[in-house]
Amino acid sequence: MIARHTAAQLLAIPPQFPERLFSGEASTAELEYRRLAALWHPDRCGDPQANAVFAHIRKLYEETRNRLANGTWEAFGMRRFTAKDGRRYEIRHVRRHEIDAGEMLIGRTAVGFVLPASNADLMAQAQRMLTRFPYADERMRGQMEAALPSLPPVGQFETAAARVMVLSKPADMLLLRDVLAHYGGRLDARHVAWIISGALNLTCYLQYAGLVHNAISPDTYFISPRRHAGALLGGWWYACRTGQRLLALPARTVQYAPSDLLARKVTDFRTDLELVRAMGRELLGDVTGLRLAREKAAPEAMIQWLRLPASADAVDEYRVWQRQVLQDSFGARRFVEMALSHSDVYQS
Amino acid sequence: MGSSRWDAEDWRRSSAAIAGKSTADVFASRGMKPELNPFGLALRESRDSDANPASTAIVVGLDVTGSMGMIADALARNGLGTMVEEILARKPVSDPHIMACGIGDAYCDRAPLQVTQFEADIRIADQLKMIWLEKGGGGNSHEGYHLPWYFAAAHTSIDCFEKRGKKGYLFTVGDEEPPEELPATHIERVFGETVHRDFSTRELLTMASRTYNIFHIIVEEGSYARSHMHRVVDKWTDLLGQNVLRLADHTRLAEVVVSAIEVSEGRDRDSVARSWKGDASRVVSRAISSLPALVSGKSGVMRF
Repeated sequence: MIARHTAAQLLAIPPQFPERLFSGEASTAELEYRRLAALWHPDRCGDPQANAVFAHIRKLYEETRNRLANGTWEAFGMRRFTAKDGRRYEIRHVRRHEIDAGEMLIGRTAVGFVLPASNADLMAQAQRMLTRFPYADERMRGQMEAALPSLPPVGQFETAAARVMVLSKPADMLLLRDVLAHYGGRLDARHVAWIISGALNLTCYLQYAGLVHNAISPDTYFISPRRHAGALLGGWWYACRTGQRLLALPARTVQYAPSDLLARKVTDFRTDLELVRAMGRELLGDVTGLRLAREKAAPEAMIQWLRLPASADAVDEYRVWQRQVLQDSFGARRFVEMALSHSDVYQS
Repeated sequence: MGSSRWDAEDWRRSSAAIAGKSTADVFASRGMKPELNPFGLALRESRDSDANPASTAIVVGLDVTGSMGMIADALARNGLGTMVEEILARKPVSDPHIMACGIGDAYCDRAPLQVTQFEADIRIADQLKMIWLEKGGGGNSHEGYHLPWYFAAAHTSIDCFEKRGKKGYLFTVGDEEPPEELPATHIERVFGETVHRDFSTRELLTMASRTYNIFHIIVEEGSYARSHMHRVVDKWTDLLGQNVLRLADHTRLAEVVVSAIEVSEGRDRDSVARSWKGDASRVVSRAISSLPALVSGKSGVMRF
């Protein structure tokens, strides 16, 4: 197979895709490299491009060795990790996203977060936050458990270069960022309504639990279009207990969090409430909110609520949203189907 | 607005024309000009154009109560030219579009807020001079410094943010404390629109900060600041943290504004201060001492 590659085919392999040439086993990859080097060595190969091909093969092999050494080999929707203790892990994924703190691998029933060693303290913070969630009673548990990560995480390990956490995810939960991209960057206001309702309900719980997530956004929030449900799975390494000094924030939160909190470096519910509003504006196609009214992206009451600053209390916010904003915007409640499946988003 | 370029020769002529004139002659308005009145105004726009393809919105709100008219006066005579020409020369941001605001007191003044267009050329000097120096202000401890925040958040549309995700800059300048809130009745009276509740100044700051980097410059020569300096500094610092700049000489406002933008855009604070000559360097160095020595990148993870 390897021997049949032409010079043009080999040179066309981008350096960041060594898996297109080499196997993900160190000994096999070395054997493949030796065979290719023997074939394309400029001293033995008459092809006018032998020099370039030889150098390119070497570069691809170096990248292969680096990834295998770092435990981050990836091929065809499969990321293979070798942990420091020698154990091997594989994450099958349908979508990979670079995120502020590292990368996110979205699978069908799991989502993996890979943070570089330089962000090891952030992963440690996520581990502290994701030990247990308090519930006042079984009713609260029943309502909120599905909107939070299932604990404990299904996988946590450390490689030479990264810290990895894997959370389980219902198959019908889709990353909101991917849903938004699927719809061309703007959702129907009626869908934004149920998504924001879910996110606001979650902020009420977080306020009860004394937690501030600090990174609610389409990059951390997942939705089930079928069930009109949401789950906050990503970004837990930014979470803090209320009143604590901030540890770190993603650029988006710095953009939209209350400035006085940033100035005082303190964790407060208002940050999550502002981020929910920013998420609503973004889902309507304009995170600034400036164009929403001009473009009549949603009913006026909804736009005004999304543009104005949040109050300091999640329960008040939720109450006003449910009783005034949604009522003024859409009248009586009714279920609006969002016909979107996992395969619509991830196999297109 | 803001579709043509700054011409230094235009500025020299404009500046020369007012040399030797009194403040009252330079700022000849004896009431708020309708074109500067924010009441019922939908939007002020800062748009990219062929002449300014990557515009940056910069709002400078000047306290025009009591003796604070001296700030606008200094800006009209020399400061505006320095501000624009130094931004163009130093390039901390591209293609500046400047809007000037006159800030009064919403509790008692007839013109609590006046707003020019965003302009890139000499028209900003012309419009600055149209601002009415009402010299009002009440017996309270604050002026309407939050009015430009509300206006910027609700009534400006700026391409730097909308097209490139880059925030504009908003400076307020004065000697008093920030107010605690903006009552809905004031919003109705100043802007002509109905909102359903009062807003705290913190809320307005949050709203304006979505699209602007917000600074406040304390004019230390002002009579209120001189007699209540700790209180003024503490109140502003509680609100804006490091983005509170103390201005010892009001004639150096332009240099401080340019320097704050430079530091915010990632330039070394001390180098920026040293880049000015003589007295300006001393004033700038003190003013921007609250800012971090080096602002880290604004992408990725920000650590505290």
